[in-house]
Amino acid sequence: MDKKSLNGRVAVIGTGITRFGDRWDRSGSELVADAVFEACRNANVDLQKDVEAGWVGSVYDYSGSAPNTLADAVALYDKPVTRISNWCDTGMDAFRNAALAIASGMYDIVVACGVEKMYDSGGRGIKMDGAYPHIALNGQSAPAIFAPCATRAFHEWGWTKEDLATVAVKNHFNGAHHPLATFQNQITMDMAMNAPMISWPLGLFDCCGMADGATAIILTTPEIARERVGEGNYAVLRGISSATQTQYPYYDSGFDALGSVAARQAAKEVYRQAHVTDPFKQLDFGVVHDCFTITELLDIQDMGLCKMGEAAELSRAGEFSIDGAFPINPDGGLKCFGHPIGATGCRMIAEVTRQVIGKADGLQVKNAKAGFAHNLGGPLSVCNIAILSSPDWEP
Amino acid sequence: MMKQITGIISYGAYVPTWRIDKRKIAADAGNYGAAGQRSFAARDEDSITMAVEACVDCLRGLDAQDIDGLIFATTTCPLVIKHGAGIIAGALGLKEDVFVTDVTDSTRALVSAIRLAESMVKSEMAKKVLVVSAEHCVGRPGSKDEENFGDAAVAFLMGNENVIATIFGGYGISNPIPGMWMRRTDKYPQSFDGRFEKREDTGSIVNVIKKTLTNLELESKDITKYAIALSDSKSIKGIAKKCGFDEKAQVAKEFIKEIGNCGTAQCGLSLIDSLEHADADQVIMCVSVGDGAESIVFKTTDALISSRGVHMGTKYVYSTRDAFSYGQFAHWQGTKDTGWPPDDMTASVPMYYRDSDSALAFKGMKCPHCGTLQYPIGRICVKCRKENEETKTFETVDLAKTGKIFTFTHDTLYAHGCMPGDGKPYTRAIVDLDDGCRVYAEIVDCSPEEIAVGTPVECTFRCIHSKGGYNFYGWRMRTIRKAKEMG
Repeated sequence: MDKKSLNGRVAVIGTGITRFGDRWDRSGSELVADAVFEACRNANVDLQKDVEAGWVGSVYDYSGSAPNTLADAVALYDKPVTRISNWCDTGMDAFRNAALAIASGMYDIVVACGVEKMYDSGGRGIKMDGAYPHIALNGQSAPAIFAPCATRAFHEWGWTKEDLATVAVKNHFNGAHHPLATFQNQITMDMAMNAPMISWPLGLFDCCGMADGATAIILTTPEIARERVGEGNYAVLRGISSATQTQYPYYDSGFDALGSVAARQAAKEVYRQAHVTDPFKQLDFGVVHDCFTITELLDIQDMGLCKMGEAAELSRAGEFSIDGAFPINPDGGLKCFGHPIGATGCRMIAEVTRQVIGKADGLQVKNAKAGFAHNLGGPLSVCNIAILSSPDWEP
Repeated sequence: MMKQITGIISYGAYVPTWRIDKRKIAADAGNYGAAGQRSFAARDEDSITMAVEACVDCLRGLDAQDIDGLIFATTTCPLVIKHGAGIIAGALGLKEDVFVTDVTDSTRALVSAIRLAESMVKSEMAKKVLVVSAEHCVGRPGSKDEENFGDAAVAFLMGNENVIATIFGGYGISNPIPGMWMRRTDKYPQSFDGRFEKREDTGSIVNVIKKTLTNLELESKDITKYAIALSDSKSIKGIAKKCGFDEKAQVAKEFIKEIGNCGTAQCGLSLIDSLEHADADQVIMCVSVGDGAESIVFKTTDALISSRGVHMGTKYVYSTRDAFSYGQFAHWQGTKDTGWPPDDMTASVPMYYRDSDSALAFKGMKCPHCGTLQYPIGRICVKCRKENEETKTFETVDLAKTGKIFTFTHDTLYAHGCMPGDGKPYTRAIVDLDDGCRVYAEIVDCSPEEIAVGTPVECTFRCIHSKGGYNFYGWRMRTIRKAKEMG
């Protein structure tokens, strides 16, 4: 059976990103409204007249547990609206479903958005389900999911805390230039190395912070995009993929704790759709899911940008910084934005879009024509990846 | 006399690893205190978890499936409705129709339980009865009890095949003196007057020893070792004098200086020490005390010698970690308010019950198609992705209880509210068990410096949490307990 692709059939014409941070001032609905209306404005669409369907991603019920999280926020009534929840991958999964809907031909213009009100939880860190991973365990923290991967990377490849610190320093440098980031401060290697321990070996600056935020994307076809915003103001979706693996990798004796099988599967598939055979050469930059510094390095390897074990030395050499060979997270990543879970995936899509149309809010990647957005969820268990480019890009 | 064949088949013990100097406890209240240390349970231990540990030690090398009775002797079961015996039986994977009961409320309960087990076996009501005793008694802060109590557990498998010590006889009296008591509505035990209690207890012990010897037509010198539940080492002097035995040569070790007075388990630990050192054909008198006193007399057999080396037994007394502070001890005892906000999470009791095999009994499953051992128990094989079409379930298997660390972290976040006050990170590891199954475990009773990729670890039974007001028991892991070299 010939595998299908939606390469060239979907375009992003509008993006909205709220300021991320401790948004005590806004409810989840208000943040959704901020993001959606901004996206509609720069897409030149009227929500009521033009948008035919909507997808909203949110993980916690207190952020909004139903399609009404979007529908009530902006009065998107009479239309099909779906709520998506897929661990940290929620936002891009909402985007993916919206993209499939456009590619199917059922709709012309749709909205995908994501929101999370981490600060409404009243707790410290990401609130995890008490019965996960097992009723007879004491619960789980997010850093404790990824910290053992760092332990293994130290053991297998000789990576060090210093390697992890290079990621934190680079991302803080980038985030310091982004007006919407939660953290806009630069940090030093010394600060990163000596920060309080959260989940050994991950310290404070190895972990992305808590934040509230919402993002929204308006999707349509490239034909409608040209009408609405004109040439040069939209991005074309070259591929979108998703793969799911077990959410209990710790019980799998084949698990090596050195990356995500789901991510590698999704990367292979999205490259196939986009006809990319050498991502390092053919693409210009990427945003990856850097919930923790170790995760960024493993993500880079999972995306096939280098061999297993090599990402640390490349990071040390500055290859992933804004003026390096392949900028990763030019916006500062989850490190500086924080991780309002439902909002992150769409924020990544928005950043890649703004980069390829030359309108980055922060640091602009030079000659950015094509980039990927990699959104990981759960204990390395689910991954959505999108590749967006300018309309004239060729692999 | 009729040939006695009923007796002890096997024994086991458990003492928590934690110790604190008695003087450190006393100093917090401005007192001087006694010499020596006491043992104290970790935050997630209680009499039920310690009982399981002692049973695991007792059952090393034995098949748990032919045990048809389990009696739990304690005064400190954490549950007053719902018995500990059922949870212990579940954790050990005993068969469904096992006879289960708790014998409680008086520190004499261990010997009472052994005598009940004896009569069950003699009357052929059961073939193998596991008697286990554990104590985790929390004394009022600032009191002598706080210093003197110790936490420990002992277990004896009773039967009439391959016994290492047969039961010779026994005698007991009921003397319901005020002594120590605790009402359901009290928070801590009370006692009338220490000297009164000691005088009465000593009197009961002497009475029982003398009558036991008379009834069995023995003289005091015929007893190789007296294993007596003593609350302090000095009182043995008077007892020995009155009964006519040598307080040095004929008295089994009582561990008061090493771990304290561990209530119902006290005479049991002395009995185990005797069994660990006795020759064949020697007579041991075990005496428990509480509302009177009760004795039981054993004669060791040839099988005792060949049974050695299998169990940890009193080695647990010498596998120790010192408390960081009095504060740690008080927090773990639950006598000090930690200031952490209450954990308002609930946990699903139905989920826990449905998952009993994996949560309580540490069983995994084996795929009939590809043979992969896996945990926890599910519907689909994680390796070959097939279900078991015939039965819709997989064969459950006992998993190995030892393994090696594959990777780990020391986390400071999810322990919030669960390990109040100790301020230490909590180790979480992926462990490769010795049978090839992989599990995700919390590693306790260790410090970060001891943990690396490859560190050997073993299972330990704990109260995992009490979210929603229900005790969720299960298995954590710890670094291997090893007795320190004796000087």
